[in-house]
Amino acid sequence: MLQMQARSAVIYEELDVFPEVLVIGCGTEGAAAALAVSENQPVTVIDHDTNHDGLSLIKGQTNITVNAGVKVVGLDGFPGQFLVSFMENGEYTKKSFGAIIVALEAQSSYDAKKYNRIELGERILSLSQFIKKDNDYSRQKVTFVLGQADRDSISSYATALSQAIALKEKDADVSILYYDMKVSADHLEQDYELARARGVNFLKYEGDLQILKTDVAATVQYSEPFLEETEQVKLVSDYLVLPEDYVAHPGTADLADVLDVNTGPNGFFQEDNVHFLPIMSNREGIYFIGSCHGPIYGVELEKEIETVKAEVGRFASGKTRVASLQPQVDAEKCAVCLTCYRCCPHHAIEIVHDESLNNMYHSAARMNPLACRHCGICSAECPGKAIQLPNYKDGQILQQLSRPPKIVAFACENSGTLAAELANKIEPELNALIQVVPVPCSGKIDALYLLKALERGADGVLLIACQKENCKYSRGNVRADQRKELVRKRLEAIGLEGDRVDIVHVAANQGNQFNESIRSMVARVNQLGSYPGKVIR
Amino acid sequence: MIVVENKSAEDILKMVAPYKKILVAGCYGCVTVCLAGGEKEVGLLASQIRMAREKEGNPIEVLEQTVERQCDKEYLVNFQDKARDVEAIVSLACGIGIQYLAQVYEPIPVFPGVNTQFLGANLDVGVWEEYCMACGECVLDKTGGICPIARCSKSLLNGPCGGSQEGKCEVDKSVDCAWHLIYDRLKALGQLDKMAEYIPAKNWHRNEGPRKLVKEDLTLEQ
Amino acid sequence: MKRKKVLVIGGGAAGMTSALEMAERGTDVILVEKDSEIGGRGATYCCKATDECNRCAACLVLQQKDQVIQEPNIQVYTDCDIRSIKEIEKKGQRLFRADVVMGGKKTKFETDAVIVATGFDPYDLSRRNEFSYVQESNVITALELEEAIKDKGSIQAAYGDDIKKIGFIQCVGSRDLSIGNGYCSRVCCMYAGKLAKLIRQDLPDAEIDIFYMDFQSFGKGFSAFKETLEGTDQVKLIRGIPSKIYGFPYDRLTVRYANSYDGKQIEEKYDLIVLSVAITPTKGSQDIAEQLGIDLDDYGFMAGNGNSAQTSKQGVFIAGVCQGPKDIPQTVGHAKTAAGEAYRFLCG
Repeated sequence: MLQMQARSAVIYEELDVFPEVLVIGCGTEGAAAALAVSENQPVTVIDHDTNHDGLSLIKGQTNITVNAGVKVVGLDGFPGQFLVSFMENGEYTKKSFGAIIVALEAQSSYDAKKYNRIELGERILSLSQFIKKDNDYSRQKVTFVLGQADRDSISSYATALSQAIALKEKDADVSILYYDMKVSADHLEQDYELARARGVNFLKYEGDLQILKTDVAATVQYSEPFLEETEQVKLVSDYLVLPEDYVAHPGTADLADVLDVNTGPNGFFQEDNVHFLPIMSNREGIYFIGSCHGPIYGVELEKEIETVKAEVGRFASGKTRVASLQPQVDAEKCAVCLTCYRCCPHHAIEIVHDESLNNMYHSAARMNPLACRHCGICSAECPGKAIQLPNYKDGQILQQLSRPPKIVAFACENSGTLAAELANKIEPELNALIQVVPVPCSGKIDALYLLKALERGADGVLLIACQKENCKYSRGNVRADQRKELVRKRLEAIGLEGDRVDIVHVAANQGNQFNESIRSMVARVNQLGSYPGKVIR
Repeated sequence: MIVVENKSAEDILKMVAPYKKILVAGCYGCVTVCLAGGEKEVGLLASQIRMAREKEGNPIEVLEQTVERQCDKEYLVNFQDKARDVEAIVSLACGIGIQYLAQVYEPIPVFPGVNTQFLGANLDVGVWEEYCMACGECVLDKTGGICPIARCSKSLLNGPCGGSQEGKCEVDKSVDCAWHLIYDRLKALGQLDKMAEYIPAKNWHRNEGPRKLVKEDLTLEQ
Repeated sequence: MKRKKVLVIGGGAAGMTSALEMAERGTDVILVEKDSEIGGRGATYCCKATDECNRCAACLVLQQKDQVIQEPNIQVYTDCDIRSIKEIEKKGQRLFRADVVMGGKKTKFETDAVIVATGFDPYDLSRRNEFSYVQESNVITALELEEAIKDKGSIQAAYGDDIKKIGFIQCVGSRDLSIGNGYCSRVCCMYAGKLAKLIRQDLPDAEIDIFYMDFQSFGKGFSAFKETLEGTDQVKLIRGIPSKIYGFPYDRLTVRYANSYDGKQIEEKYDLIVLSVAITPTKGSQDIAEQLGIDLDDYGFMAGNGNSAQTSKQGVFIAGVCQGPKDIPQTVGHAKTAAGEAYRFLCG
């Protein structure tokens, strides 16, 4: 069946963009990204720090410019037309790029606390020391201890497996001590199988594990869960290999500040929000790959690079197509107060000066079509009502409230309206009691809409927002929560019940929860009685 | 910028209690920038007043309008169509705008919808801090660009008082000690000698009444 | 330039992402789906948020579905069976021709490129009935649990108020060389853990056990997630996969498993058993792969060129789980890759 439900006509414009991509970070991850992207468009790689591990991979490649000893110190402009400021040999330089890929590699950090405070040495090596060291391990006894450090990733498992297989080729006696063998990535289970087939000893431990240091050998002492009434088992090896933790690059916070992108758990780049996938930032045109957003396994890194390559490929031709859906600013009302500029989660707003702008400053906010994600947060924040989002203008929204039913639910289109559709199928009879007013993000729900809904006859008002920490636009649902509080206070200030306004967090697939929140609101307003502040009866 | 804070709805409702039709007047100047008196606040307050009065069974008609600046009479003229029609006006402008509006639209009673607070900087969305008290005698050249009158709790011209701890004011621990800031700044500027310079006491006595500024060479009527 | 056309096979998370990405770049998209609605399996999953989002990403799928329906550059055909698909030459141009049947009517699509996004089939439990899935109604798959919670709102609403003990069994058909599935399905430990957390909220007193081989946790803060799962959420992680499930006593289940440490046999009673079934290649997609000449990997998933989405056949791209197990964000990422590469192919 052909299914169609045409969206109101969208005008697309074609914009000039810079095809060149800036890769920040010259480790192996940055170099791999540069190599991939350079197949489609020119790339500049800067080191930003002292890591040059990837240099040899990209030196002399066509389409790649390498600039060592360079640091990013500023960023202006918007996707397609970023203007990046660099500090280069004590001097400022500037260059334009279409997109930016952050590849500031995490650093491995051996944490002795994870291994009963044993220090590294000749026979006790960290995993990265082990990889770098060019020892001949033939006929040596090598033991890897997994699961004590690096617990949020599978990279140490992947590395240990491939190293173990290689060691077996050299006839080494290899053991891997583990608690959970992590194999949840392409090919890892095969590596595990292969390692077992080659005779790697896999030993499960439980509870505390002690590493004992002797002059001639390294010993790990652990509890063997399969042996009844266990004595602790001592495993003596020539070499013990201990994975490190990965910590965010020390320059992460500063670079995040310069680029105005968010960081997340443990100080890595990127907030922990599913909408950002592995590679997106809160800004269009700025991407993360590799360990800059958390420890990563090689195959996953390669997949991320392919995705980013496809994303920045939009700018490869020097032109890009974009929908003109960004909010429009009425300069006459714009006080150039910077509120929108500061509230925009995507850094999509600039203040422009133009004699034709009809206000005393000849200036106004302007939303960049390539950077804007059309959430409408700016328009809800604007104190002068100068910003209107196409298809969701204040007039268009208030028009829907001419004769509201008992409950008005302002619903985010990423969650609330979709849940409402499911809800309606489950319990259609509730439909008569509510009016769902769609907004692109709960951050678009203006405090004024809430008051107007009540003023015009609703008995209760709901803000239907996405689950906490799941806002597609980072903070819209947090702002919605603040607005609910603000309106409650305003109602209580005039002796009316603040409880008539509430926020619920539902996801797109929670039709039942949607109905539950409607039912509970209906019950609440039924108890409170008809809203006494109605102006239109 | 002039920073203002919204008055409580209760106060405003008392002011407009006798009237059946009023205008809520906003200003696109400082009060919009400090998120208290722009078109949006006008809408919120108007809605609040309407609903409160409905609840009392004493409906009121509330008109809404916002102009560029209430401290210039050319802009105030724009209120005339609506002002003609109402019994009272609530202004969300600063103290200046409120008075000027009252003056221009006499005899319509004009009420304040905000409390004018101070001259301040906008540190972040929703955060303002007093930076200037309009004392009329600027000493910022001597104090590294940090005003001790506005930012020292005691307005000391020759601080510090000795009561600050770890850079925080003894009057209020959440406030930075202005003289600590001044010391740090002067040090950074290599002008610590200015700390030793005595700043004469300011004459706060205002026997000449409200201050007025007339620049003879700029006035139109000679 | 004449507008190019792409055929996207499969209306799940991967197909919808590819379609949206292509449409946004100005390509005409024909999206075909064998079911009566687009959304794929992801659209049947429940939200696993407790007090806050637990990052299952199921919500993304419904958001995409809405976007696809509204996107004028995408023509969506549901109830659409592909009878044959092959490369043809027409007026000197290489095209792909798909002959399809929709609602009993035959039609054909001719496009410049094809993105295959056929997703997965859950492991066929009839091949392996030691868990009595076929005969016991309270032995269900995790996919069924997801859908039931989504549709009914809670586990009690779906399976009654009387649940005192629930067990999840991991790796059913995954990591199992005896059936040739030598791979980890990647997503099951995460979703079982998240479902267990969600159920704990609804059933504060129930016993919740997860039988597992190796707990496959990864991602931001997941070791902490596992700790709270065992700690505050009181979910018991039992190492070892049960050997047999019996449908007694009446209305309940007896699960036999061995204590993996001492080898002793244990039998315990459960009210509900949830099987985390493996992600396996779809049957239909193998036909399509054959007709288009795409390579398959050892397990029957479609193979890309390295980590790219380009296949061994020029102009044919693969997106999402048809390439191998992925969670939803990874699926979306992979589909973006496919769309980017397909677009470059179309640009010549």
